[in-house]
Amino acid sequence: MTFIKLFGLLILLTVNSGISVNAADKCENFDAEPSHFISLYNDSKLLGKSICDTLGATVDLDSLLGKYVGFADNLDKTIDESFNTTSYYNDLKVQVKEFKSLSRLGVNKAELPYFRVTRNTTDFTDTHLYFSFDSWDTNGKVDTNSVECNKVPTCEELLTALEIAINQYKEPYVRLSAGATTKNISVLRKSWDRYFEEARSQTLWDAALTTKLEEDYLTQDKLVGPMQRQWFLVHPSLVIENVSDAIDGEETQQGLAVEWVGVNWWNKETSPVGIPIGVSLASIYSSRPTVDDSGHGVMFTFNNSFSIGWAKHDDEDGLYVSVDFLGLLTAKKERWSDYKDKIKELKFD
Amino acid sequence: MSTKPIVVLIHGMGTHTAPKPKSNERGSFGNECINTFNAAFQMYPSLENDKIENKVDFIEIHYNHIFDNFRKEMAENGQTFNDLLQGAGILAKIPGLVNKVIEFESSLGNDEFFNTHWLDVILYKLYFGEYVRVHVAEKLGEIIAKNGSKNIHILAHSLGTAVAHDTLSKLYNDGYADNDDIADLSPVTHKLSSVWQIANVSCLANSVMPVANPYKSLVKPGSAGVTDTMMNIHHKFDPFTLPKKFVRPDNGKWIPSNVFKTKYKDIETSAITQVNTHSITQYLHDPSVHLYLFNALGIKIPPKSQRDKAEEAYKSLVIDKAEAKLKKKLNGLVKTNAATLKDYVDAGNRLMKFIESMGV
Repeated sequence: MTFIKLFGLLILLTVNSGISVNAADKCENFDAEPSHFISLYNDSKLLGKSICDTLGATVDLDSLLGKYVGFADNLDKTIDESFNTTSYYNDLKVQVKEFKSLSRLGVNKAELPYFRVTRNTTDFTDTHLYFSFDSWDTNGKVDTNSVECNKVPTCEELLTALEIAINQYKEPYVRLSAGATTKNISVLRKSWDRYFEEARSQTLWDAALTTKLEEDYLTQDKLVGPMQRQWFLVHPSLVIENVSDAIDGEETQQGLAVEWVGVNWWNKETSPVGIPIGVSLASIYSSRPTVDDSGHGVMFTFNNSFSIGWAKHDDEDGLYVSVDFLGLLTAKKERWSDYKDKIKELKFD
Repeated sequence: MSTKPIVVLIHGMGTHTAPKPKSNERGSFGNECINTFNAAFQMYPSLENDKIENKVDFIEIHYNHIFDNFRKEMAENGQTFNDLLQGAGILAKIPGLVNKVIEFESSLGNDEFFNTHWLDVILYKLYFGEYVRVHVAEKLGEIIAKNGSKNIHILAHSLGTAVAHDTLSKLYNDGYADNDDIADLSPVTHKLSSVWQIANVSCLANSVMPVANPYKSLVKPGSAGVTDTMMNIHHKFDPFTLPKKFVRPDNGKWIPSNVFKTKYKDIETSAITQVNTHSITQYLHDPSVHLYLFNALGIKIPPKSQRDKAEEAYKSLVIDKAEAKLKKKLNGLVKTNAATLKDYVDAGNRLMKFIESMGV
């Protein structure tokens, strides 16, 4: 017993350490070292790793405040040391002042701005470089045609190196958090895959009605998985019907059931009765000389695949079940399997 | 991880072959874009010896196969019913409405223009659209997880502009937190570099069963938006962009005026060098478009003398009398904000008639 417990503990430790090493590796996902500002770059990496390590955790204001403020102060110092003789020094100081203010509010992972150095997007004849932290809308700028910008290193080289050095404070977090978000999106995509594999096939009209009636769910301001209910409108199914009062030899016949309107809870986890179930107002059309061709009643669908219905043909009762659904369903699953292979081919390695 | 800017390509309606990244094969939309950019490089001596792939990485997000799959499944189901009902001899006994539903479904398998183009729009507006958005968001998430978001540029065309807008609008969230199950990103922390909406139909697509209002969503440039910069590009005679077109005035309401002036660009082209004015190649080959894109991607803009010559050369490709003929065809098209998807179909039909009249 003791041996089994020890063995279990060993496995647990191995698995846990594997996860933590993996996470740590990913928090080392930095851009290559720039040609200038190495000290700032290294400082930025230290903060970057610390922020990245908090992925999935709530960060209290004090925990990383010192590192964040220290990095912003180091940035300020770097600007003073390296840019104080440039014409764009004051513009840089304005940017740094904004960043320092932000850092003193503590690490907010929803508000980690990039420092961007860009050309004028709206005028390609403009020779200026623009720079800013992109959490606010105030730019600094410098003319790349100016004398100071044509010395070595050029303004562009210096600002690009500064951009790389600064942005490491957030870069590993951006990548790792986007990976975590992608996993959440994959959960949604898999639930849609499951919907298309398991739920009932729909015509375009069924899909239109379902979309309309589930519009509030589908148009939420976030990505969502499939709706829990499918709706049906003038939906045809092939059935076998038995009318016991028909003349001998004609009791059991093939027919067409039409669900005028219906609903199906396709997912057993959210179905009101614990299994996928649907109910529809339906008519059936068949051909018997002694019984009215059309009958009207209700149809129930179980497990998204098997339907049973009752219809009244004038005075005669008819009971029917769906047929050949298994064949259709198999074909459908094959198609989705083929489709999923295509998705795998499209995966970016 | 790429050190080059990354352009994420999102195609429009119609048939597009899928890329196969594993075997390094481009999809048809990727080929169209890249070949046109390289043709544009040939217009300038300073770029003619280079290839755009040396300066930019392109990644295609393909969704056409999703629509194709639904279309085929519906058609097969419809056809199966049709065959079985004919075999059972009960077609004559069922109401006409039911017959029409079955006939319509079985016709979806035909490779007619309606099925391969308009049906994409219809399917996108139904719940299949959310599946497409989830698929596109998943691919975009993979790209950001690998490369960060700072150097990501999105180039979307036609229906792809609605797909891109709606996906980004749902994916990015002001209330982002990393310790919940919501599949989202932050408009600040994960901000993209640029979004290029070419032949933008996002307003029209959101006029029915709206996902997000393009004038109010987070898909805008600047500090409050999902992207640092944004371009809205439309051709004066591209009928698809005329009904309910995306138009933003510089009044400080959508984005601050200084952001509007430096980070947003509305480009209207007018030269008709191809009869299909909606074509992505028509847009990208135009110097008034590709030069801005080159600039955003850090590609050195050719000097003015080269640009002037390229402009002249491009003008020489303009098709004689095409503008007057197309203007006539577009006469009476609903271009106002009151336009509906029906007007969109009308616009497409007019373009098709124009293309036919030009003998193409």
